[in-house]
Amino acid sequence: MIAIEDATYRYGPGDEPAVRDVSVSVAPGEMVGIVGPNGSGKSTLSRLMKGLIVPEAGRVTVDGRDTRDDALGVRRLVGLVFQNPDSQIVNSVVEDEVAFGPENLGLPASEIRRRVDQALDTVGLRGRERAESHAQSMADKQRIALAAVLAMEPRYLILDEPTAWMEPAKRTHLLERIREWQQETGGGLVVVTHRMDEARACDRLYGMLHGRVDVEGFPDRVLGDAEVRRRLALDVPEAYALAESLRAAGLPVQPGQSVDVLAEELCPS
Amino acid sequence: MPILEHTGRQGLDVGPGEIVSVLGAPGSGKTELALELAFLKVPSHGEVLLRGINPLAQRRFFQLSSRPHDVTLLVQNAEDQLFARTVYDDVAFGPRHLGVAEDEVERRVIAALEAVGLGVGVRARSPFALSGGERRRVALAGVLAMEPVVLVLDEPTANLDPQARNEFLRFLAPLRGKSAIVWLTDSAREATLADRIYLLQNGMLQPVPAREALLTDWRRLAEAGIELPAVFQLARALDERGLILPPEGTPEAMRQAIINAWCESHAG
Ligand SMILES: Nc1ncnc2c1ncn2[C@@H]1O[C@H](COP(=O)(O)OP(=O)(O)OP(=O)(O)O)[C@@H](O)[C@H]1O
Ligand SMILES: [Mg+2]
Repeated sequence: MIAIEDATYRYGPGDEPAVRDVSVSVAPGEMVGIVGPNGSGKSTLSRLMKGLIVPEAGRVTVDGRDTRDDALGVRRLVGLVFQNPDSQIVNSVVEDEVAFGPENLGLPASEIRRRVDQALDTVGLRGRERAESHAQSMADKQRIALAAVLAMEPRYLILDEPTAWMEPAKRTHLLERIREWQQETGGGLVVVTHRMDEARACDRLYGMLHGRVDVEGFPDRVLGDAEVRRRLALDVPEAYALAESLRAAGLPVQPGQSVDVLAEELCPS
Repeated sequence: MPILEHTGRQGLDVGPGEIVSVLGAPGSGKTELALELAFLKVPSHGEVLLRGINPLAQRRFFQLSSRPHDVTLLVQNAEDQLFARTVYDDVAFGPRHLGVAEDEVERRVIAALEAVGLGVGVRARSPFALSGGERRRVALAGVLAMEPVVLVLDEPTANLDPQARNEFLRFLAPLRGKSAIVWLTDSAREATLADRIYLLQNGMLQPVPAREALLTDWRRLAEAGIELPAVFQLARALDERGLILPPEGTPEAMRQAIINAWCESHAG
């Protein structure tokens, strides 16, 4: 489990805390979403969980390891894909980039090959092994960065706006593949997102505001609350609003469902 | 007369004070088009005219330094290109480079930061000590402060929170009614905020005559890989399941059509 307990962090001595007194937990097998306005502390939480920064008060542990005492151990357990793919890719050939981490772990060649193949498979880049990584589109660079993290076989995976550059169909597909990865490995998943449809797909959500956890709960509760949405600068998932209006017209649909579920409720296949 | 015109790709034009959006799925060629419109790339078809003239035509060699300063492009990963010591200096860089007097620079920087929703408190901060969305806002403030004659925005809302995305027109306030703005996006919802819309498919542009009409041709948009409003997504899913729906309509008309079609198929 990843546990942030009453953590406070500030980037510079004179700065306002970027997060203060936050408590967040992520269990293996769970998909946790983090939402909230720009600058509310979401990426700071990601960095705390990965052990890239340590809190000035409170603590962060990953499977019992404190990020203060065992940052290296924590970094092996936690994979983090950042918002910006450009800053994460160092190798100019796709498969070199993905193999880079496992090679540094000193793994045998056959094991490296297996991991690279599997990671490229998950992100949908099989067949592009020899492509030039810096020449790819933003969306594909994001996949490369993700594959490189997956090849490290982390126990927990944090995606900080990983699909910002992808088209909707590909975005959904990629998240499904990551969900499969999670089910196979039993890993924990954290998704930082501004997309309400992604937030809705999580098991649990944290809503951040001004560096604090403003609200925590099931997506339906968090996103279904108009006051929370206003406060956290969130959108209504469009499908929610549609379901409500169809229901008001007497159609047999449940609130808080995706478009696919709505279609199934209206015309069972 | 349009201030900027692309004569290739079946054509695009934009007039002063106008916002046109170019709606295209990732991979449809938006970034290439953006580079052409900003005179950073020679078009493979046709030419780009500024006030009716192709400023690259006289030159034997393509040189970045000779591109017209009237056209400014906000690139896709603009937040990675911040470089100055402070947010203020970063936003001020453009107008200073254009030779704008310092008191006017200050006025523009303050107006631009305000428009993008960043308080004056960030002025002295390092642009690197900001969140992803805040950096994107600084980058945007930088192009606003240049007050370009034509502004080309390549996916400007990436990394912005949902509220900022919905209110993005407010970010453009300092230029509204003055500059010509071309806004490239993959979101049908964002595209409809513009005065006019072009659909970009396989590098080719097609004007969509009226804002409402954009949503009428929902099958075409879905085939172009564009994310549809939920009601059209549902219409597509129901269509595949055999419910008979009209081929076009506004979102409201489509919602009503779904209700009617469902009630009819369940009558008796
Ligand atoms: N490297 C840094 N140095 C100093 N302050 C920072 C740094 N990174 C972020 N901050 C500040 O910390 C606060 C939280 O930032 P954080 O990056 O966690 O926000 P976020 O919720 O991820 O926002 P976004 O949606 O824009 O990505 C903001 O006020 C931001 O300005
Ligand atoms: Mg962030």
